[in-house]
Amino acid sequence: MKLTAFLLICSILQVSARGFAQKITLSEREASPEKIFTRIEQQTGYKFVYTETFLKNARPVTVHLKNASLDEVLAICLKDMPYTWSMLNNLVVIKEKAAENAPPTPPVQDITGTILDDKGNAIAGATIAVKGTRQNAVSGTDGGFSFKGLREDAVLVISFTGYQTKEIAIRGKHELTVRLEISVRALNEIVVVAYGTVRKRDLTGSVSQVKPAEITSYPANNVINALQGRAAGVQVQQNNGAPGGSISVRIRGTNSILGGNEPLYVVDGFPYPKNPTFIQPGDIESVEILKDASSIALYGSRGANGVIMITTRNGHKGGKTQVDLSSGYTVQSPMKKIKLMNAGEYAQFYNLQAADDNLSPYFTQQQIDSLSKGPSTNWQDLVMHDAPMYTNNITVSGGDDKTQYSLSGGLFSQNGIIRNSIFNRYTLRGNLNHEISKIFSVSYNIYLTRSDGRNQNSGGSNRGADLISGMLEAPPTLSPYLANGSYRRLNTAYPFISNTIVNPLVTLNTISDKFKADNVFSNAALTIKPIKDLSIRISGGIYNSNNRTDTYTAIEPSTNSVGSATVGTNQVTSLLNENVATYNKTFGEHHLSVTAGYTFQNYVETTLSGSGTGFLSDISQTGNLSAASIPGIPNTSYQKWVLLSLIGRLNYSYSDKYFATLSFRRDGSSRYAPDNKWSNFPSAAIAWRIYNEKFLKDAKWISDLKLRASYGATGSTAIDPYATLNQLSSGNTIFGDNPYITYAPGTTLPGNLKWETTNQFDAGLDAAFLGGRLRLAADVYLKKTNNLLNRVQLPVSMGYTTTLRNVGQVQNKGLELAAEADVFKGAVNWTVGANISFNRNKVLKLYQGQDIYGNTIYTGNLNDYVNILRQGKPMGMFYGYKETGYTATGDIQYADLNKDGKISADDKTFLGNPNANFLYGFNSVVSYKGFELTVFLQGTQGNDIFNLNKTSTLDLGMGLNVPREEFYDHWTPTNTHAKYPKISRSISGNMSSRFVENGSYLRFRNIQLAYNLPVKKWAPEWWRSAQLYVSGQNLITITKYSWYDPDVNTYGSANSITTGIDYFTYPTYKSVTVGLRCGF
Amino acid sequence: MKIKILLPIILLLGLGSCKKTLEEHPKSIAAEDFYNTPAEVESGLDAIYSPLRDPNNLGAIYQTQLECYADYMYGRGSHAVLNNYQGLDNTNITRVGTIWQLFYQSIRNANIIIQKTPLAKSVADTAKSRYIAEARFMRGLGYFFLVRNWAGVPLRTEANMDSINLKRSTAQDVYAQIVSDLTFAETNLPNAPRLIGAPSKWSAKTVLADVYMNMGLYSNARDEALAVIQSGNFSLVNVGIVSDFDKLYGADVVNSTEEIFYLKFARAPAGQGNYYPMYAFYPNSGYYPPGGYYTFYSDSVNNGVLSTWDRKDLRYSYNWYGQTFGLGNTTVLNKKYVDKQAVTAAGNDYPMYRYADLLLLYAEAEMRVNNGPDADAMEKLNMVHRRAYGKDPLTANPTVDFALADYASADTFLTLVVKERGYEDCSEGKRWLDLKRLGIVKRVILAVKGITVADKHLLWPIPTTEYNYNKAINPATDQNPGY
Repeated sequence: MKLTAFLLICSILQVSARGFAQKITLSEREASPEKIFTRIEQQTGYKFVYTETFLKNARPVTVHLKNASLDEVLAICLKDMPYTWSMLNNLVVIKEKAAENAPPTPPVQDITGTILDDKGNAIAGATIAVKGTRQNAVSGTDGGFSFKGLREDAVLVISFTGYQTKEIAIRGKHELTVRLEISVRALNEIVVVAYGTVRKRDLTGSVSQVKPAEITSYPANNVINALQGRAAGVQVQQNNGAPGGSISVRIRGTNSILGGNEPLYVVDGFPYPKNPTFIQPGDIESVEILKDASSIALYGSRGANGVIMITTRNGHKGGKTQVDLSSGYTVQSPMKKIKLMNAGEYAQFYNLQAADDNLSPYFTQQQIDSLSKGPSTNWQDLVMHDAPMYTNNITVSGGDDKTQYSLSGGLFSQNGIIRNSIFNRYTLRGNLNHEISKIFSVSYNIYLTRSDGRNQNSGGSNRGADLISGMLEAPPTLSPYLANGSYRRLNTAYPFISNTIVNPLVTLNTISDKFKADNVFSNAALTIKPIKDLSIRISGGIYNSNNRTDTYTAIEPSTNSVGSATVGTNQVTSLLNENVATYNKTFGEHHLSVTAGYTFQNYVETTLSGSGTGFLSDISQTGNLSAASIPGIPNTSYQKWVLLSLIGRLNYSYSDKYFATLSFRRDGSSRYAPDNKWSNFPSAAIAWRIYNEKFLKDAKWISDLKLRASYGATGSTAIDPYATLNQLSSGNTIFGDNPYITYAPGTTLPGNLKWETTNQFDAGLDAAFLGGRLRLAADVYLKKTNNLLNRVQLPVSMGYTTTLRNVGQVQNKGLELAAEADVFKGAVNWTVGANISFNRNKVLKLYQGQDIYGNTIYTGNLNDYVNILRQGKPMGMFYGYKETGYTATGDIQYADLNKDGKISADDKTFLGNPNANFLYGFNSVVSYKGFELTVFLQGTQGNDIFNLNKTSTLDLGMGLNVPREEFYDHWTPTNTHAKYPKISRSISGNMSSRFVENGSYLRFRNIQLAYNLPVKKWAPEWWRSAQLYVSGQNLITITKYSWYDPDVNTYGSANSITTGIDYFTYPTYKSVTVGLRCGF
Repeated sequence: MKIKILLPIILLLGLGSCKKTLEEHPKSIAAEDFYNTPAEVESGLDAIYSPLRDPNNLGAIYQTQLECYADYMYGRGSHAVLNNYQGLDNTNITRVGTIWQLFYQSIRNANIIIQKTPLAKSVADTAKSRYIAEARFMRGLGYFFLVRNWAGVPLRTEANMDSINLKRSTAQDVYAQIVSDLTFAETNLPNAPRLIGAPSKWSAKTVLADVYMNMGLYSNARDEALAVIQSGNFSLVNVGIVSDFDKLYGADVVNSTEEIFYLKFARAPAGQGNYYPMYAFYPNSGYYPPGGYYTFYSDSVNNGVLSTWDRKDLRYSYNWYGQTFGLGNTTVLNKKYVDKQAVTAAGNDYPMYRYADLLLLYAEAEMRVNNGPDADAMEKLNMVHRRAYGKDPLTANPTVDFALADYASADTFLTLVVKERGYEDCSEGKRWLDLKRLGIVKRVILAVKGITVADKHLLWPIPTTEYNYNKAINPATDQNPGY
């Protein structure tokens, strides 16, 4: 309103104040008038006044002027536009020309023209519309078009995909040549970085951005899952296929032995201590992955593994309320089933074993015949099924200049492909920004999540003792139920059968492992802009989670279960306070931005658990632990850490060509020994935007080029709280018939520990070609982690088994490439994106050169570690015995590498590498009219998997079912080059080369066909958009891996030593989704 | 302008309290402030027992391991290689490595008490010496288990417990340490134990008698054993019918007159039970509700020890029951530790030293001192023997008693004692150590099972978890033979 009044005054006064003596120097390319005006304001002190319509009609301008007058600058800015300007005191008023002179009836005329691209080539198919009318035309193959009878003041709007839309007033001309400028959309995007945002083109560090469309392109139960294959240098591995199952993320390789290797997650500025599974993919505005030292330096001691910044949706200005709705229904099914022996084969197989071991046959020929003819029990079919998954999300957002808001609600429900497993998540989110005055503004967001469900998983057991090993190893000859309807007991079914095998249906149906979790995640901030260019943000955040697990094993005679209940609770509260000031200043060609602040975060975790065994009835389940005949000892725990930090960053740029960033964080952590609590994490980065250099001014084929380099240090809080203190643990023992409390040190000897530090060098290049239709980013990096916290083994005779020391060094180096191209533009649009990353990992130094072993895995017949860390080798290499074939009697022959005539631990060697040579992702989007076809591929190359599922093939004294191929291809005196040794219960099995398989794969992660309904044509005006889609996930996987899925990591977790193993893992699924996305 | 003043204040306020904010205050006890009161020292003493009672040690696996070596037993599944008598495979090397670790953890906890108790602020001196005596008893006992299974081992005491690298001592040095610990214990331990399951003066003497037997110091052994017998503190539990043995081994027994030093277990709270029965039973046999692995078994006909075991000996029926699972219908399983009320694990204690053991030790020692049996030796043997036939142990009974005249030579008497100990201590993890001590392993196993025992099988290997990190032990030269 104010503005209208003001304009009125201006036009009445008709003040002309042209010719001011102020001189202006400007060098801008494709800058918006708004920006140019700001520059002029900075240099002259003039203020500009203009309408929004002007901004909408304005187009970017390129100006290179030195000591020019305001007149000259504005002439360029307003060139070819129906606007003029006038001056009032210090105010420059931009107004429509029409207001100055409006001829009553403008004359009518004809016009012809040609549309050219920035290189002067004709553009065919461009749309030329006459503004304010229904008239339009399309340019021909020569780029030509023509209109008849246009008004003299008509304005033509010329648009063509991939180019900036241009408006031209014809002003009585009869011939026009229009050059369209390429729109370099990607380079003007804003990316979120530590404590701020930056234009992508101004970045000095290495940051990958993943867009919401990619995150929501298929139903993923976890935001992080959706990042798989999307960004170079980011490895996302699904540890198993369970609903709500965990995943491991590694950015640029594995740095730490003892500490976590998971990146730091920062959700709306809040460093979140875990993997943020509570976030709905639909609520995400953007995900940025900070990879190099300069980008992550402001997260100091927690940045070494990279940082994933998650920003949730904001409201928007403009007054219009938007409602977005999406809904999907998915059917999941097992990717494949393992080919195991059927009943007849099983009986013959174990008769072969009996024969080999000089025992009388277990099955008579008559039994074999009847088993061969009769039905086999397919335990995989009984345990797994096709399962539904639902995703529903609604978002309401809107706002005006002062207040913006976004509200959303979501429901995610996934039934697992293993029966009786389910994961539900209900979310409510609100986000509010309000400008109180020019100085103060506030923002608030809150995220409430409830998740609950029921787990079914491998208990890490063997010989059929848990669900998954039972499903794979239970005899196909036995039906699950007895004639009276009760469960069949498997471990006494045959004399030769495993004494621990459990009917998998008993595990499936009688063990109820339920969880529920409530998360509150809330953040409020006050922003103060006391003076020009200075902004101070004071924020406070709370993260609170309450979890409870209820596990009940029902009374079941066939497993000797008398009912056992366990209840566990876990409460986490983390408080965050951040006080950050940012100062921006531009003087001439120099731009300076300084950020400084002070932050505090704490984290308190308490747990409480109770248990009991022996119930009279299943009715109370976990509802009445005091009814247990054997009460468990209740347990509680308490843990707290505090992190205090000072942060500082200085960004400097000159003339949009030269950029430099210096960052610094000083962290104080409660976790470390008193003299080592504080540490500094500095970094520096430079970038050179060559594109803006004069010598590239005429290179039409190039549309952006920038070189970057950075170096810096970041840390990892690799140790748990209290690890440096000499604490006693309590325990129990019995005297008489009563329990007594004991106190003694644990098995880890405390050490005087300091920070683990990662130094990283990164050099990168960002480029765009062919008018931005081809965009590339490349990075090379070298990371070294020093003072590596290492669990140093002690001789066990000390009574301690390990201590912690800061010794060791690990190196990661790699190359990342990402490319995006708009292959076709026009009626058919085709965009492809691809990324590939190579990482090489090497352990440089370990304590006294001692090897570090992964967890010992007990399979019943084998009991050894699989992974090893050795100096000079990549982390987690598979280490064991190398097979060379078979002995004369059909047993496995191992290589006697030290030639001492016997096979012992000294004969172990490297068997494989769980680290991939490279990871890649490829995305293609083709759209034509309303249709859109998306194909997303993703894969790894060169990694090995240790397939321990196959230990049963050497464990033949236990009556376990085995892969069918063993029955048909085992050693016999006439088949000495068989895949499997003789069928005997005395095979000398070891963790050997037999289990190492090629884990490379190429997966069609998602194939989607979407149709955008032409709602504009038939729906009411309030209906913005509607999309129907059908998609398939994981439908095709190309791999040589023999088990369920190569995307597996049974022992995957923050720790990276025991890795690359597949052992009785919840299988992953493939799925088909139909869904609807609507906007109102 | 205000902000320019405010900002440094905010920063100062925040950082001023840094030092305190970053201090750690765990809700657990720091070792430095502990071991001052009797209750604190006792809780530290009690921690010596836990690693021994662990299911991976004397809570199941140790006895399982040793029973599979016995002439009367066979191992199944991953324990089957044990009765091939050709040394251990990787799985079993890992198992005994864990046993080593747990014994040393117990020894560490003992060393802490021996080191810290003299400094305790509110413990009387007499109590201090009792506590130290108990810790030294437990340490000596731990080394006794180690030296019998591994021979010489690193000797960690309160003096060198913090040094990482420590060489392997000779078996002789280890025995010297054991004798020193147990002699201190027998002098300073009370007549009655602190708690049922803690050692008394008599426990120390009994273990010392066993130690002297192993060292070949028979008259010392005889004297220690005699002192225990003469104390009158112990007697054999009377047995009339087979099930009366439950008064000795049963899950509900808290204490008996026969108990000299036992490891105590209880069904509740969870995790404090005896897991050995889990390895012994067949599921749904009715003897042990939590199930069973039937890891070791025997054969009533095809095993020489069992086939010649007098069926009138109540111990046979108490120990064995028939259970077929595909190895023929004469297969038997051991049921010495029945707990029909067990929910998670059994309440049966581990009878490490019983009065019956002591009587048989005495009988052998007395015979060896005199180079031949005397009436006293024979009477002690007969006490155990009579009880096994349901007779009063203290009353001579010609129908079951052995006559001295029939076993007059040292050799025949020794064979008789060893046989009696085999029956008496069946399923107690003692047989293999007896056979080793007497040097008759190879002869007995060849005779009963027809297998020649490899030399390497007589000792367990020093675990890799020791020599990989203890630079004073060189695996090439210091490892036990054959590994």
